[in-house]
Amino acid sequence: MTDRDDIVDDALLLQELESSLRHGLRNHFSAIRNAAYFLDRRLKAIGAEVLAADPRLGKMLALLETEVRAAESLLGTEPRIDDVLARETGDCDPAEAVRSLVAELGPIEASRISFVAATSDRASTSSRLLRRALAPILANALDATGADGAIVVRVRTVGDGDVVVEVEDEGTELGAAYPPPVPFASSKDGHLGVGLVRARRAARLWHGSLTIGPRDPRGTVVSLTIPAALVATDGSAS
Amino acid sequence: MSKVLVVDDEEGVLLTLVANLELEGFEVFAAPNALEALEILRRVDVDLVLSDVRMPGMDGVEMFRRIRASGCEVPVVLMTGFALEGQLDGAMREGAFAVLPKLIPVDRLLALVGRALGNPTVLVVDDVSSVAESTAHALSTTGVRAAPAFDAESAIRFAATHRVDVCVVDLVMDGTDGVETIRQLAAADGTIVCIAITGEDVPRLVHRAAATAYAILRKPVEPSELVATIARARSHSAVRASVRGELP
Repeated sequence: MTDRDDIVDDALLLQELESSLRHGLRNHFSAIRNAAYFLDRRLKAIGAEVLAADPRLGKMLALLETEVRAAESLLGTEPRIDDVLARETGDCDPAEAVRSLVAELGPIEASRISFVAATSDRASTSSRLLRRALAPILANALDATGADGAIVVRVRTVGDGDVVVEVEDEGTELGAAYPPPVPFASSKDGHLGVGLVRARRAARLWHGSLTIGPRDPRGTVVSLTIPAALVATDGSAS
Repeated sequence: MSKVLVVDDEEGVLLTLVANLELEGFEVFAAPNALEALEILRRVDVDLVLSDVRMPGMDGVEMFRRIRASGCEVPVVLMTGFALEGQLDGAMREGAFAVLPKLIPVDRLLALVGRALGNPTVLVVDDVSSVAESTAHALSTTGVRAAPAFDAESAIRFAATHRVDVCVVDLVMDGTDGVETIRQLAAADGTIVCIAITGEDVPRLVHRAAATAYAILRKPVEPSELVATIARARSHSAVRASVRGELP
C-alpha cells in the first residue's frame, strides 16, 4: 500500500462518517422546523392571548427557524474531504484491478482464488479507488473461508451495461447486518466495521451499489456494481 | 378531504409532518416503515404518498417501485436527508412526482403537496403535432398526466383553463418560437416551470432559453430522461434554492 492508498482509505471512511452525521442532523433539524411551524400556526389560531401576554413566545418561535436556517447553511458547507476523493479519476480495467490485487496477496492466498474475467469493459474511475474498494471485500472473503476455503471472483457486464465484480466465498455467511449502517459498528468479533463501509462509500461515489447476499448452499456473495454511465465498451472509458 | 400517507422511520419527523398536514385539513395516515405503508395502501385509497428515502428494511425507492408494480398510480413525493442520492435518479425516471430535501420549509412542502394533489398536467408544446402528441402519450404511460399543444397561443389558452405546472417547449417552431412561448407562459402564470427542447443547432435560441428555462434538452430525448427532468423541475420549483450534490 502507498501513502496515497492510506489517504484514500481514510477519506472514504471520513466521508461516510460525515455523511451519516449530516443525515442525522437533517432529520433532527427537520423535526424542529416542522414542530416550530405547527406551534406558530396553532398559537396564532388559538393562543393569541398567550402570545400577547409574553411577546418572547413569538420571538422564540422565530428564533427556532433562524437557528435551523443557520444550521442548514453549515450542513451545506462543502467538506474538504470531498476534494481528496474528487481527484480519484481516470480510466481503469476492472478485471486488471482484480488481477493485480490477487497477485499482491501472495501465492498461497492467490491459489485459493479462482478468477473469471467475462468482460473487457473499462470504467472511468481511478484504478486506486476500485482497488481500495475491492481489497476489504477480498480480505473478508479470505477471512470467512479459513485456510482451505475457495473463493471465486467474477467480473462481468450485466443488464444495461453495468460492470459487476462478484466475490463469492463458501465461508460463514456475512448476514443482513453487513455492511453496518455507520463505520465502527461491526457486530463481528475482531472486526472494526470499516472495510465494507469503505467499499460502500466508493460504490456511492460512482452512483453504483454494494450488495451482500447468501451463496447457495453456504457462504456469501458480495457484488460491487459500477454503473453503465461509467463504463465504456470500446476500450476507452466515457 | 384528500388522504395523504406519510412514511418515515424518524419518529420526530413523522409526528411533525402528520400534525402539519392535519392542520392543513388533510386526512393523514402515518407509517413508520415501508411495509406498513404498503399495507395501508392495500386498505385505503390515498391521494398522495410522502415518504422518506432511507429507512431500515425496505427503502422509499423500493417502496415506490412496489407501489407502481401493484398498478397504483398515486403521486409519490420522496424526501431525503441528503441533497442527492444516486438511487433517486431511478425513481424520478420511473415517475416519482418530486424529490425534496428533508429540510424544506413546511410552507413550501405544503404548497407542493397541494399541487401534487391537484394532479397537474405537463403541457408539451411542439408545432409538429405528431411529436407533441407522441411525447404527451409517452409521459402518460409513466403516470405523468400530459397534454399536447401546437403553438404558443393554444398553450397559453390551455394553461389558463387547466392546472399546468410544467411545460416542455420545443425551441424551433413556426410562428412564435420556443423562447417567446416560454416568456409568454411565465408572464401568464409565474408558477409554471419550462423545459426547453431542441433537435436543431440553434445556439442563439439556446442561449436565450438558458435564462428562463429550467433545463434545455437535446432531441431525441428518452421518455425516462424527460420524466426525470420533469420530477427535478417540480422539486426545484418547490425548493427554489440550489443544493449541493452530496452523496448519501
